[in-house]
Amino acid sequence: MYKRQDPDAATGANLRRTPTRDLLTLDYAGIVNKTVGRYALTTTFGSQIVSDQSSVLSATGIGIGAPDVTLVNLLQRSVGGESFSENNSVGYFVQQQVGWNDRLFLTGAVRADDHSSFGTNFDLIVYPKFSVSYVLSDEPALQERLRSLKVNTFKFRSAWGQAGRAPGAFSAPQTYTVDRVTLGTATGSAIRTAAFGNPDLKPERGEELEVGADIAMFDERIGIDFTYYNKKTTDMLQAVSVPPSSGFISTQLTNLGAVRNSGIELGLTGKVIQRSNLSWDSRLNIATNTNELLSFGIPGRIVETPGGQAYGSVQQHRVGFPLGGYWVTPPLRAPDGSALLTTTGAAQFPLGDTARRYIGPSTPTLEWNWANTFTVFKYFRVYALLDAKRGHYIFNLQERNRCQAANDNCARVNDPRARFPQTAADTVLFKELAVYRSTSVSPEWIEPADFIKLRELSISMDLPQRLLRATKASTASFTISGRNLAIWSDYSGVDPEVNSYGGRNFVRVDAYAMPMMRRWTAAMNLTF
Amino acid sequence: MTTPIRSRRRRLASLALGVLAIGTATACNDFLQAENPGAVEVQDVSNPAYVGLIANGPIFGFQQAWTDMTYWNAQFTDELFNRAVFVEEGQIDRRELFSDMTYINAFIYAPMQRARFLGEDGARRLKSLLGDTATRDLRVARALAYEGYSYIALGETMCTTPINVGRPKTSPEMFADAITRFQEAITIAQASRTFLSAQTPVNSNALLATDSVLNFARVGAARAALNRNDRAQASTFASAVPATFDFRAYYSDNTTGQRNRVFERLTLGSNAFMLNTPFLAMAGDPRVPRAAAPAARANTPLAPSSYSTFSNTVAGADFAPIMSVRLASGLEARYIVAEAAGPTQATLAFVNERRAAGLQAPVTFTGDELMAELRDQRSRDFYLDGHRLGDLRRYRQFYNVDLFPKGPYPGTTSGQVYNESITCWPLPINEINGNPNVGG
Repeated sequence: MYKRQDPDAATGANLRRTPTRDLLTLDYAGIVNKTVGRYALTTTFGSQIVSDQSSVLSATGIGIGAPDVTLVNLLQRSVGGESFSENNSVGYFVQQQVGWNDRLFLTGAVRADDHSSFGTNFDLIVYPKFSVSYVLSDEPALQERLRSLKVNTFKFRSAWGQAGRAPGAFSAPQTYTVDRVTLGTATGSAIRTAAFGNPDLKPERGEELEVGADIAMFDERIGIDFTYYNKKTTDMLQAVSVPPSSGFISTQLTNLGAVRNSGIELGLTGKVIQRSNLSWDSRLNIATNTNELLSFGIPGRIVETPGGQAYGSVQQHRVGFPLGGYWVTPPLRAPDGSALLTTTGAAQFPLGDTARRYIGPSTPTLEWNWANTFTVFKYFRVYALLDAKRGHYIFNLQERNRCQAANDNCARVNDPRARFPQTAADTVLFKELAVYRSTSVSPEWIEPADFIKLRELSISMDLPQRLLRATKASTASFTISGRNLAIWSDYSGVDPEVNSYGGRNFVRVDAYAMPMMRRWTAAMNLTF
Repeated sequence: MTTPIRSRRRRLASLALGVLAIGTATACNDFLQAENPGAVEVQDVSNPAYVGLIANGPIFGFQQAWTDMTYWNAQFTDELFNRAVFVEEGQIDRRELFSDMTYINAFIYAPMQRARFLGEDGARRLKSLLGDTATRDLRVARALAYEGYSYIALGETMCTTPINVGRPKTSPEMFADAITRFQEAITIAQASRTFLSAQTPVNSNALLATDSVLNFARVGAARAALNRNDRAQASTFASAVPATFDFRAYYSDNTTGQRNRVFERLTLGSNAFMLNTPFLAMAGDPRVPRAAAPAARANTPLAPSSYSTFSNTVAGADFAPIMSVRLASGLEARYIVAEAAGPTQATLAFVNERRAAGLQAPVTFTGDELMAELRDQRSRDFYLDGHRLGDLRRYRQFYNVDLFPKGPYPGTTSGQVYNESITCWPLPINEINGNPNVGG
């Protein structure tokens, strides 16, 4: 609530919001275990019923007449709002696991789901899955060999399975709604179009193959986890443009084409130093991801523009490329690389979608983080975490706006060499001014967003028991930690990790977004 | 012996629970029918209880779309100059338009397409629900008239316009379709008038409402015919409209969505001004007022005065979000008659009448000079009310008079120029991507 303190200030408002969620679940699971010789058989079956209703009741009063009277209905203008969504689902599953000699496990399962958000033309969906794991280090024939290689544990695993994601509530039916209409001096109600709907709507189906191994070596001082994954998502749920000539201003949730995500995940853990007065534990995680749109599922469709892009559409979905990749039209240039200008001095950009060029993906293709913990004399601990993301790009809208002709407020435009050219190189810079100032988005504004961050650094100290005797505490520790302490990046903005429109699918843009804040924390923990 | 019996009972109980759970889930198909209290499913719209709401749909759609379209078309033409830092606003001002500009769909095209559909859909549903009386029901006539105006708005604004995910229609085709709607609206309104006149006692308010819709449709038909350069038909429709006729789009402060968007845009951080437009020089004309202070808003057409066609100019009140906008009028009908007639003595008399309204001395122009003056007076009388783009396109196409801004963009430091090749809005990417009948 914002009360009026100053008679010249805004008159204040009282905003109320009451969210309610009713989540009812009914789960039934049965397990049957049976052992036949060397085989352990486990059958699991059951069903799951979920009813999830969410509603938000809000009321806003604007204009506090008397500072002591703040009830919404007593303010100068009051408006109310209500939203509601409901998702109901029913699922059944049965799973059979066969274990052999407690080291080889085979599992097969089937799950069937029906959901209230499926279209009327679609019924329930069935997802199968299979997995195998084999603890090679428990295999007598291999134990000697693995021991000679200092391998303590070696587990191979592989899984194939399908899973789904249900559409959002009320996505399937075509609907109208009621809105307010001004009729002379009165307000009435009018019916208008709302959701375009999709009676064929079904869940997104993901099919994933995963192969990996978990290895522990040198008396468990070295650990290696490796996984290769290849996931193909079909019937991808995607909001696509509804042609406005249909009379509906909305997007339509549609099962579209296919996307592949593949990559590796590697985890390395090590107890590098283990002494009585010093230990060093380290963990390195590396993950790669390659994203590719395989098809739209619509004959002839090769491009779709994600909605919600402000100030120019620079991201597109194109078959054969990552979803939401950056596609921008470069300006016309002479063989020497200088911008070709019109007679009035404006940069020239070819028209049409075919003139766009691929710049790069909007999501990282490589991520790694490296965590280290040093313990000195058992009482002091130093923890440091480095975090990196690479291979992706970001639209630096902030700097682009500053360089716009109307603002002329960026370093590139105000570079004296460009403003007052003396040499041939300066003349090239001068021509670049027209590119920077142009309202067309040139590739220069799509910048690599690679970075390495010192994500966290903390120092902890446990107080020795003898120092605690005077108090009644059983343990005590003191910690100072800092987050986002340093960044190494070639990005010309403040922080390449920001996204001004993070809530919009695929859209990635730095438009005056607040960077990740540096934060220091001091904490004292006492246990009694 | 007791342990095995207990165990068997437990198993039986578990099994019974499982069967019950699965059975419940299987039996409850209704459980999977989630109800949405915020929507009416399409098959339920044609409910007799919704007749009033269906009839209001076209009014809602058109009033909301018209005010936004008016503001952005004012920048597209010479009515407003925009020095905003927002990239797309400058591009619109210079007519550097691309299909993937978000503003085209959000503020120009999609809302008016919805208005068109609500008129078409509303008229169709009303005819079905009202049965035989639909041929004399004013609500059907009104829906058709609003539909006709949405065809005019799209035809005057867009380069081409697909209807119901069909092939793109040219502007002349759109105007022809508009006339068809207006003619049907006129027929129904006249039948309504005949029916009401035969009642005893005569409901005079109902008759006034009927005449209002009738003349609304006549002005629309005349406007569409003039845009097709069918001056005889335009004059025929316009001549039947009383000089005092006035039909408005209404706005309200009741909710944000009901406010006059021209007011919203000009007062809430807008960067649109009269600067660098021919209207800046019309300072003495009360039909094209502008603020003198504060300095930051100088030459912005807002409070305390407002546009000549906005309702509270008459009352002398401040520019406000609740101001209605004149959609059609006897004044417009007279302009149409004069333009269709050409440089006649009647046209000269009309021009001098309008000059007097603008505190200007009478003139004795003839020929092209008189028609140029008629165009000038029209630009003042209909400033910022959604006529200018259609007028400029018509002048360019049929009279070889190009009044679109051209040449270097005022204040440019990077060689920006008005894009003289563009005089209409391209289809937005949403239509191009989603409509198989539109070539990419």
